[in-house]
Amino acid sequence: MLAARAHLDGRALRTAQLRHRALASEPFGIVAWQLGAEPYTIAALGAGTRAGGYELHVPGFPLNRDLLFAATLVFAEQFCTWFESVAAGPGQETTHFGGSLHVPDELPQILVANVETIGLLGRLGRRLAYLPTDGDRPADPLLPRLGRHLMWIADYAQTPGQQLIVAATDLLASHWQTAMSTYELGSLAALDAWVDPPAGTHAFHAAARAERFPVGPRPEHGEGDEAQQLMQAFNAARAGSVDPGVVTTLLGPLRTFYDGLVAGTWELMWLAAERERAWPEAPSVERRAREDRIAYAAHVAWMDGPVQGRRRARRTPRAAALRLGELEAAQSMCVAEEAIDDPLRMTPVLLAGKALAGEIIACEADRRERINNRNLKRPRVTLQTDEPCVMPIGKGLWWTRAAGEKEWTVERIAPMETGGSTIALVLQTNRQLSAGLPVVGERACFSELNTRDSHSLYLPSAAPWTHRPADSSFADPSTDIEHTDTENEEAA
Amino acid sequence: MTHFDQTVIDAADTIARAVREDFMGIADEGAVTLTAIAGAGKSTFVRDTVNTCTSAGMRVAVAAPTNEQVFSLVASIADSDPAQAVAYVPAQRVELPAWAQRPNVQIVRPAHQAGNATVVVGTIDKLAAARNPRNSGVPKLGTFDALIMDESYQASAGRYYAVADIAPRHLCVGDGGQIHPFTTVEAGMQWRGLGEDPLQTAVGVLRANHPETPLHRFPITRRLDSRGAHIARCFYPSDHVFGAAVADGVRQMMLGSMVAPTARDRALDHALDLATERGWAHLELPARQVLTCDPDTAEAIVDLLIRLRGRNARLVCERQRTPAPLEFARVAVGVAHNDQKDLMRALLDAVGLTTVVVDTANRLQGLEFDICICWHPLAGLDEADEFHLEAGRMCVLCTRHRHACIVVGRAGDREVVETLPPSTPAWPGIDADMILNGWDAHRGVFAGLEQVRVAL
Repeated sequence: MLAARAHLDGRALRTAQLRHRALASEPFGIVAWQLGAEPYTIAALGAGTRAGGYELHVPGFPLNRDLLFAATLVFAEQFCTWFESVAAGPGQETTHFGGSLHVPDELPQILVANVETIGLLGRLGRRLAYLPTDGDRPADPLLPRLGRHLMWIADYAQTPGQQLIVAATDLLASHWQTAMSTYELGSLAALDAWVDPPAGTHAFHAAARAERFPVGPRPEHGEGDEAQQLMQAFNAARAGSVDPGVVTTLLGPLRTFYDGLVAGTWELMWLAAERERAWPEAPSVERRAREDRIAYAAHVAWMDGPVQGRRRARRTPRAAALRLGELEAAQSMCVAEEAIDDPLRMTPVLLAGKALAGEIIACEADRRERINNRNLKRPRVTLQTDEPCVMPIGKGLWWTRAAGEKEWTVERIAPMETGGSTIALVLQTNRQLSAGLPVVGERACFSELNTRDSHSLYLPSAAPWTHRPADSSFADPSTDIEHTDTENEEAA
Repeated sequence: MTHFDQTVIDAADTIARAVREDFMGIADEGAVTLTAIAGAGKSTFVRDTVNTCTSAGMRVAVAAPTNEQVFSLVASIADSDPAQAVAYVPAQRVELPAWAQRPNVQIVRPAHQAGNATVVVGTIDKLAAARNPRNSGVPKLGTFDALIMDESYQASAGRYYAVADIAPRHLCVGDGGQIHPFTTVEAGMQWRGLGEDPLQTAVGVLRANHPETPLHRFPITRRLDSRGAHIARCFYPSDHVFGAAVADGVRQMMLGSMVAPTARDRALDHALDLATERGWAHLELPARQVLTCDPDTAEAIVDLLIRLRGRNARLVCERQRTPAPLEFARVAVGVAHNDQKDLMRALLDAVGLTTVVVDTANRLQGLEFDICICWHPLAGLDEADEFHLEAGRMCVLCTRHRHACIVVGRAGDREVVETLPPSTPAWPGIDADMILNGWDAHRGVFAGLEQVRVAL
């Protein structure tokens, strides 16, 4: 329905009154291009903060390991220096799985153009993370270090509502409604055209034009052909040499070519981020940013620990189940927080009959009822809604201003002649809510959504026989990705 | 007149004996799985197996995924042997409803005190929390000789993990055609096809790690008669052969006459007559793309039930051999979405049909009714997605009834699955394609309902 409205208006509709993602004051931007269909290979990387501008890293012929790693090493120096410096900044000590953890006050945020870039960085990370640093052709130790950072970041990026790495496409798509399909939403240029079409142009036409603009990381707009020609010329000129002295002077045309591509995406990405920055930040963003900072601090501590950030390639059944539980909890929490913070986000919940909003017409703060032969305080409020309410009696709802506390149950619903309903709700506790009680005359919203801790799975550390393959042994527990083993040692 | 098809019953008894033999024969650690179609008498089988185990001096833990399923298990196990004490371990703030209470049922709180009981019953999550408490200060529930798990295709591997060490011997009973474990998080799919996937079923993880685990199939349905079983076959692999225990013509519904002044009334009557005669009717509203919570469809269901009430339905079956009036508490409306449920509840309450059960397919799993009205999951959709196509959801809705099922949808629904099937994601290590299975199942059901279609 909103998509139809967006088409009618000729521009995207805002779906939130607030900004539901943190934007750090100086995020670290990365724009990447992949080499053709080589999923583990980068042809160009632009990286830096907005103020500092980007540094361009172009290996020239990325299929050559020496050239690729030489260029990646320069990026690794730039990235690791920035990424690790945040951890050492001012912060607070907390306890994390029994140990002490220094959580920095600053969120080290990475900004990329789209979700595919996160995937490419994760794959590049996988390629680098376990390179041998000794033997015949040792890799610089910084490369595995970069790889382990990138792998962790790409995995963490799956957490719903995380803000450590923000894709501009996600940022726009989660705050604006366009009339594009899921596939089309992948193009940052088209999204941007919907959000801010040129004056007098319908967003549909603006997006159709913008779609041709290459954003990366896959060369899908013909830019691969030109890259191929330049690369061939470069290869012919270097004649097999990987000597930096020879290569650097020959890289000129390729660098100019990729500079043009990266500059366009760079511009677009920051434009989108800065435009979103103007919207006021939602209150719950702070809590999620704190989760991100803790996760980041734990990752850095793991990197500096005895196994230097090595992690299992595959999770154990236990770790996978726990991770799934974490993801589900993060998702429901994020959905609830966004709706509670933002009336516009609550609208679909109201329409789905999962919430009710109206004017408080009575508040009985000292009401008591007999429960298990005790006369307990159970405040009751009555509110009038404009829309008919079809909720079942006894349903539990949370007041948006106390969504992390006790629920209210629907006691009775009476239809009104005006088409709305009169609803009585009873608070299920005698304790004072932190926000007090709703005041007569004000509008209040009660919904199914709450920010209480959800039931979390608890699993024994030893896999039961059912989950152990008859013929396999599990890997060394010292590469324990979720600290799940350490957690158990403490419990024991 | 014989009321039962003895060959089907004999075949089922043979399988039941074989399962028990395999189960009692487990020497060390091991499991036996039994898959059955809806209403095969799984719960009866579980109850009888519990008795077999206790007679053999074994201590048994019995688990199921949801509270409602556990309530039924508690009542059924307690009834089967009034001399045998049954320990029920409830989760926090869960009370055993009055209908499930028996003198020999002991409610044990905290759960670890059930450690000496011969038979303990609880949800998978509760038994898991008791066996492996998060807080190391809480005593652990001891181990048992056997774990019997009902509805084990509904239990995910992740939840099974937590309870699996309660006993060395497992019997996993379940219905492979119903709704499988699912997640709302996209990243939750990343383990598909891998051994560690927490979203595979308990039976799946068992068979992946221990391929020698016997897999038995129950060749019977006791709830459905042959008319119902005919459509139910759409949801099960073709090599899972089953028949109806009840002989043809035993289940009968009789409707009184009533004046039908309008065309709508006549169409509703026609649907009810078809349901009486054939066990099925497919009521179609005009083709239209609508939101999931469509008031017209809801109203059609309400009118249908009002009409059913007006025509004084009486039922005859193998349990009730003289005609008895239909109780509306034995009528269910099955829907796909919670908002549909809320709307139906409000509308039915408004016309005094307060006892009719309305719920989503997930929550109707394991329950039985005389008449089921099914709000077709694809009703009014413009495009079929994985959720609405899922065969398990439709399977639950089409297999709750003993007498008749009336499917309510829209005329265009069939076309949604008549085009080319969608391209679907594939995962290494997984052969079954849930979306295409659902696609096929829905086509099968539409074809099966071809003869009983009524336009409204």
